[in-house]
Amino acid sequence: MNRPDFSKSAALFARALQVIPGGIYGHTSPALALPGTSPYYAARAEGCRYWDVDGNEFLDFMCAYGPIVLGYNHPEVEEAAARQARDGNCFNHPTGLMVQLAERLVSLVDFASWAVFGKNGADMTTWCVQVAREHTEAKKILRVAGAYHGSHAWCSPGHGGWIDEDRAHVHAFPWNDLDAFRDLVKKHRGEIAGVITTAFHHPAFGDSVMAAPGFLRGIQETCRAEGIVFILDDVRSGFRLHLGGSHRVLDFEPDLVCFCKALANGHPISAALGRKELQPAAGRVFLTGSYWNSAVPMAAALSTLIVIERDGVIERIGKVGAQLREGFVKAAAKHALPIRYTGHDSMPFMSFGDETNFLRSQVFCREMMQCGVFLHPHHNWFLCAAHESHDIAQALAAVDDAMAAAKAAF
Amino acid sequence: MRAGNEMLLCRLHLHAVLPALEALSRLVPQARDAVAGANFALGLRVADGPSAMVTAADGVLRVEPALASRGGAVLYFFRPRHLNAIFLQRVAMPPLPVRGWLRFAKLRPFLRLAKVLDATLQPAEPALADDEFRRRHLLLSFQVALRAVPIVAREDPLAMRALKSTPPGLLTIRIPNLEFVAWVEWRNGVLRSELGEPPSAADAIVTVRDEETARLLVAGQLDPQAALGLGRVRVDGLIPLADGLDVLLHRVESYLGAPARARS
Ligand SMILES: Cc1ncc(COP(=O)(O)O)c(C=O)c1O
Repeated sequence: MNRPDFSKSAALFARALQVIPGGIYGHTSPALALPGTSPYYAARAEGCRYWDVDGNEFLDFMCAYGPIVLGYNHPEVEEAAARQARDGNCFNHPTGLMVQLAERLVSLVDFASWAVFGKNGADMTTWCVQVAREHTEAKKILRVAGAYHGSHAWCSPGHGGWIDEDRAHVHAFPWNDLDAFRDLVKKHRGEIAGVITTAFHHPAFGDSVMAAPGFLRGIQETCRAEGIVFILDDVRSGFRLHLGGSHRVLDFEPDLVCFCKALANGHPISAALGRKELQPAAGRVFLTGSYWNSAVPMAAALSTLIVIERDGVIERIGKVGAQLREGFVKAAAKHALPIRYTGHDSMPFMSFGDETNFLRSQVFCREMMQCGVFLHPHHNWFLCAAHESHDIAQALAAVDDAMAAAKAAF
Repeated sequence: MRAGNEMLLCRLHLHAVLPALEALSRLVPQARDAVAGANFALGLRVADGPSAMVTAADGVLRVEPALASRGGAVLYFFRPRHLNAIFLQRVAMPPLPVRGWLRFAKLRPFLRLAKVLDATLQPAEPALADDEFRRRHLLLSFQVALRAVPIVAREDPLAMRALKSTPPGLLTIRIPNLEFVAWVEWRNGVLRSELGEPPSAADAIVTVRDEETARLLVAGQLDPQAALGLGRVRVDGLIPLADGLDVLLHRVESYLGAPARARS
């Protein structure tokens, strides 16, 4: 087998270091994946495959860390975006597409009666926290320990750049620990503005954990009883579990929901939707950004939503995801390697046995990468509508050797 | 520098920098010579603060993190800032001898050692051209850092904050061509570090590719993230543990590094 060559990635990285702190920062930093054995720079992508700057081809199971839900470079979405781009993208005003998209989203999300837009997930999670505070006139925010809500000072997992005061009123409780949540509510009764959770727990460097029966519903009930705003951060899972918000498959109902990643199949847009009672507060919390009204991503979002619904994308992704899971579980059993395959089939994560240090996962993913299958050892994976059975078969053809290598390494 | 930080810096001086004398007296010919004929026991004590004891006998130098109950001379520093000033070679009152007869002739080897240590840890750029010297500089710098991390882990607010979100585990750091191996363990709210092979299988293994990389890292001329991307440093295993240690090393640097020395 030809091992991929990454010399162009390496050369670009060396140049980057002269002008960009750390070369590549944030979630795509090589430091967080498998430096030296994975590409650093992409060149182009199509369907469920991409090519790096060295020309290496990868069957992709990261989908740009979530946004690509239909497949890269989806013709229909790109055509809608290009059509709008010909008329313009950035204006003195929003376009009619903004109204259309808000109407569309409000029609999809059962509890929502209004929508607003931003660019990134954190634009929306942070703004929703502000809306909760404005609505309740309270200051405290409860969140789940280890959950990711963005890179802003109140929630960044990074160690630098924030002061304790940024989080003086942010308190964490463990996922699935309803008692701990209720204890916090009791302790800070009358001071809590909102609670923010994801639909299921999908931390980096950790297994995914679905909600225990009654956990999210329990949070909802306490919120209703105490006048706390319940924010669902559906930035990562939105449009992969349900077209109308992930709460629909998990039997609970938040007050606000944040979407981003899959909303426009890779075009930059995020959205928050909310219950009618929160509309006045939403109107009082200043919300804007230079590009937040851009028309092209709105055209792409409208098109993406059409395709997801029309083509039964969510069901399809779940099906190929199940094929992947079954294949991985079988291969692991063949090599007598205990694995934990967690999360939703459309965005799963795999780790080994009782290992918590990812050493074996790193060997496994490195081997898969060498075979041209891009999997991340520390972050949940994503499936998209472009993954077909033969793509899954390709991944499964590589998995046997990778399991053998993971077994042999320790 | 705030008062609390003076106390922390003082602890770093006594319990991370000063113990490097032990390795110095083995590795550096001038230091070995100075210890060869030396016979002294010197305590350093800071009012309401830490102390340490340096002894030399039979050609062996030892640094202990507390005063021996008897014997030897003891130098008393009025406050942490006082000791720090002496370590940073600032103008300061001499410390007060409070126990034993301070026979300066006997202590002369210690003063020589202190000078060699300073020159090794804070070398003039041209000195680094010498291969042997550079290796000693790096080894001692890593040893100081290794002893310093548990101190910042206990006392520096930003280090403590970073550890709150750092997963527990055992980390090994290897610099193969410097023959440097050490481990750091973060467990049950306690951070420990030691030179040598780890007591059990590590959760994170940090490998520094070569001496030049080690030098750039010590000099603060290579961003750790960049070093990883360049393949000059490799981390296998529990990356968030290595990340937490990186914050601690940065905190050590903020107390003992050249800019901090220039500032204080
Ligand atoms: C659950 C969740 N919330 C919020 C965010 C932040 O989104 P963004 O990076 O677009 O600001 C992310 C990004 O990964 C996410 O996964």
